[in-house]
Amino acid sequence: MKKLLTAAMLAAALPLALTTAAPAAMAEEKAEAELKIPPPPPGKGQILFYRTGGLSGAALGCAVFDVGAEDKLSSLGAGKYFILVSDPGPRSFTVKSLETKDALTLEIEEGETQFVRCKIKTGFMSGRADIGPSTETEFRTKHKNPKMVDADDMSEAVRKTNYPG
Amino acid sequence: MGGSILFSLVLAALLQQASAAVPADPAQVPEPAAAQDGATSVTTAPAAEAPAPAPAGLLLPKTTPLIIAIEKELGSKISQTGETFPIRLVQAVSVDGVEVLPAGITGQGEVVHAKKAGLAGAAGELVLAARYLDFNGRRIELRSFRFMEAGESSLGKGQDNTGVSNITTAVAGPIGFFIGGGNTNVLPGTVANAKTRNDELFERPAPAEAAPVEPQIEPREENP
Repeated sequence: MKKLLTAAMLAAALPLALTTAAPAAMAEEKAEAELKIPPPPPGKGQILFYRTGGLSGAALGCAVFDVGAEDKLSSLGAGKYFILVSDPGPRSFTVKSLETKDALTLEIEEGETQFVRCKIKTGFMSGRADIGPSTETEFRTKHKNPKMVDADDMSEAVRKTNYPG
Repeated sequence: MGGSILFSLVLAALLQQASAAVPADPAQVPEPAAAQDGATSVTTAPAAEAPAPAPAGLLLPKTTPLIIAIEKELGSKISQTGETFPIRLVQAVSVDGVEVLPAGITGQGEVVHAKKAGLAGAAGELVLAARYLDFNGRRIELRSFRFMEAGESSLGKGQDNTGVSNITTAVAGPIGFFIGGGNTNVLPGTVANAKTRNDELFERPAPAEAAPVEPQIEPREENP
């Protein structure tokens, strides 16, 4: 009976201990995770492509192409992002998966950063990649711990801007 | 006591004179006024000279923010990529206190991308661009169209149900695939931000002159 009472008291105290310890750890993590997005080079605009983490479709990549191009710009794994520097003007992108492909056109503006989110949605046989316009607010809210796509998963041009030097 | 004060005063005066005559660091040598002020030297000319001529016009610099309104219903379901739509300037724009673009002038925007909501929770998408405002036949080109966001929501995208669809698929099988996403609708009068694309020069209005006095002609009395 005494052991049971001790266990119950411990169980009651545990959440309190966790809540007091958690904020400090979370604040530290947030400070580490705060991503500073560099401005685009003069005369250029840029797009930040990102994909949030999560279990659904985690094994699938979200390969981003220029419409009509055979070589991908980069491939987004779960929780990854990359930045594409571009000339101003309209530019169309596509993501391909086994079942289907999705496209998005954006108006790239000089000196500005736009955001595009990739998601893996449900398909019949496998997940389907889907890209859509996003905002910095959504990126900051939903992408808590963003990590850059690995250098070997980028095209030469994209690698140069994301891994300078 | 008095001697020491006098000595300090003389020393201070001598030091001031020395520092004014020989600058300690050549890099701190003041440049001639003309070289320092460059083009703005006209404004610092002595008052005795002729008054500086007023600038040729009023410059509205590029990327000046504007508030515009969309004048047509648009939506991810009803709009087509490439479709144009009317816009209106909501707030007048002034330069140096002079109104250069009055509120109410109209222009054109373009649907850059429109996609209906789809299966598996995919949200409808709508990307718009502001193209120009028409000011007395002159095109004021625009850029950087942005909906005025309220928190996380944005009119560029409908309700995203991808997460719901994925969870339903995981729990209940392929039925989750048939969950649709939401479309986005933009009603007429929706307010958005845009910026001017180029520097725009406007004529400075002539200063108000006194109304010319018409000569008064006294009626002649006709002699009988």
